[in-house]
Amino acid sequence: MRTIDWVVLIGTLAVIVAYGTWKGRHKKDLHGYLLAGRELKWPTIALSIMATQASAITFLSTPGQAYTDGMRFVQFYLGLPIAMVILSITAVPIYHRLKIFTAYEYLETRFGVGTRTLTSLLFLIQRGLSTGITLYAPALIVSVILGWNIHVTNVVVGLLVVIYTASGGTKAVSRTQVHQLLIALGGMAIALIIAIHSLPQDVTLVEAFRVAGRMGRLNAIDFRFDPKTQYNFWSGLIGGAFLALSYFGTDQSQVQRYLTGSSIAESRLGLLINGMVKVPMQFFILFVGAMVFVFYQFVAPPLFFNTVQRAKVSTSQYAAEYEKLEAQHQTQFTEKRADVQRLLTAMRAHDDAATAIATTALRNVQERETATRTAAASLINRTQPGADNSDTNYIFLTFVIDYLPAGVVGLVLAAIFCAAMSATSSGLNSLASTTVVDIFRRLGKPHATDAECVRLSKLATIAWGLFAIAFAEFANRLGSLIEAVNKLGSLFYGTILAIFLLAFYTKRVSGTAAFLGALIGEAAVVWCAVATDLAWLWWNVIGCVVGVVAALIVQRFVPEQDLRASASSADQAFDPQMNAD
Amino acid sequence: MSEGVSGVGSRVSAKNHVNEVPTPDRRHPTPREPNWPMLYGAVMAELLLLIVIFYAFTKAFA
Repeated sequence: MRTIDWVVLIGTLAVIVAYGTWKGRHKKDLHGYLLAGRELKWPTIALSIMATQASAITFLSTPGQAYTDGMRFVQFYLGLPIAMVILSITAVPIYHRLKIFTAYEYLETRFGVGTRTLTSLLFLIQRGLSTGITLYAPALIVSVILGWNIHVTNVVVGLLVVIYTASGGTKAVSRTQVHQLLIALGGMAIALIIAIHSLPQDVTLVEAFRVAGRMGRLNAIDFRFDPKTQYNFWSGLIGGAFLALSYFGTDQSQVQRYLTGSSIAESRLGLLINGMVKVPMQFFILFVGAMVFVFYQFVAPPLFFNTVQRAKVSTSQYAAEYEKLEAQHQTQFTEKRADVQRLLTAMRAHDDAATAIATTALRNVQERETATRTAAASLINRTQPGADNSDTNYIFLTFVIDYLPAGVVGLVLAAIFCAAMSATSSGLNSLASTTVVDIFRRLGKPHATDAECVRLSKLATIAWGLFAIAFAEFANRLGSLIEAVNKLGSLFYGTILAIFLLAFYTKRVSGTAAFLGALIGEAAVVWCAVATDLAWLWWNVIGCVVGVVAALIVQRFVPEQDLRASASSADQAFDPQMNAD
Repeated sequence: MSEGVSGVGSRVSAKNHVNEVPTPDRRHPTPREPNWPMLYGAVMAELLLLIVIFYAFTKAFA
């Protein structure tokens, strides 16, 4: 990195941390610290919701996903707008009327303290681990590219986030997220422009699209139904809707964003704008990856993008074998580039037969190249068993470092760090809220003062920050990060959603039945994950459906007294007069 | 909130003894509630449009 890159990177991060600390500087009560005084408007809420979901993983791993697997990952988000509409109609008014701090607080009014505690604990485990992965992503960048120690990087980035999150609370988190997301998207837009601009002079944009399309990289929609395929239209629309319902409706890191709205309308608008912008935004990020793929059809890519693993294998006993693979890869690239030229010539001449022949040849050489890359990954795995041999996370970054001009590299790195910080800060903020409101104040010290709770929230933020930093040390064994974080969430989201659906829509299911239903739903998800090869997006559907059905069956065996108590608390929770704004 | 607005209008009419149209209080404007069914419809319509565009995009360059 050049001096100008360092200036841009350090300058941007310093301004963000200072801005967050300054924005949240006023002394607050618990309401002000955890919910920003419920005074935020919809533009801030919408951007904060988007920034919470879009971590550095989104900006690093998603373009790599498009490079290796095409744009079909965009289907994962198709269920999100549906979920935003459902949540705006159902969850938002209930949460606002009850004036709660956390989503799990609502469950006690419906099912009792046991269910509230179970969901809080599931959230703390899942979000605590996910925040670790979120922190790991930028640490990975610096360690691989600049050769920094990954442990030191984890600690530095983690501490930067902890500083403004602990001192400023939710207001600092939401305000900084607006700027962080804009910087991140700006960085990606510049990277896209440069990727397109770096293509050979005689290749037009439409021709670049055609090359990417012919090589299966613009496969945004696939209507074929296959429960074992991770990303198709049906898994995205149905599984994605369940995942989004659970993530945005029951995950405190998101619920806390729209609980800060000054009214139901502001919170609803924040969610709906997210529903309208998220899918095109993901399409755009994947499109950047597809264009990087086209760029590497004209410029030779490395056989393996992870420079650290590449260096290790080159000095191991497998060095000669790896060199052979590199030579093979180079030959395949030369062959592929000639095939791309043949394809372009045929398309320019509108010669359909020649286009078909060139496409087939191109796909064949692409398959052989993929096989060579797989052989290299397996060699790396033999050199260092358990090493990170998933190359997806390094592709976009390698392009940025090798081909972007001075200053822009610093800006893109700042964008990635900003995204990491924004998602991590939301995670820590929500973990602190749940720890203090659902565990400490509910189970430990019910009469704790506001000052005590604010002090403890700050300590909890620091403690969860340290936990996330510690977990980040293990994240390098998890393969593609964008998949890992969603897969981890999918282990729990279906079950948690089942509990909330029972709470929202049934009055005659008791706390005991909901609790047991959730345990059975979770067991079903674990069985699917361990014993079947069902695509992980469907785990959300399984956990939810099994959880709801099991609770309804168990409810038949619950004593009448328990049912009456539950129905009475349900009436109270839904009574608009009792909890009106 | 709506009662407050008509109340202001009534006082103005009584004071001036003319049939003025009641005007909302400028210091506390009534927050305009969006047309929610229309907004929900717009979100779903946009999703449908995106699916069609993505499908066309996939087919056009495959």
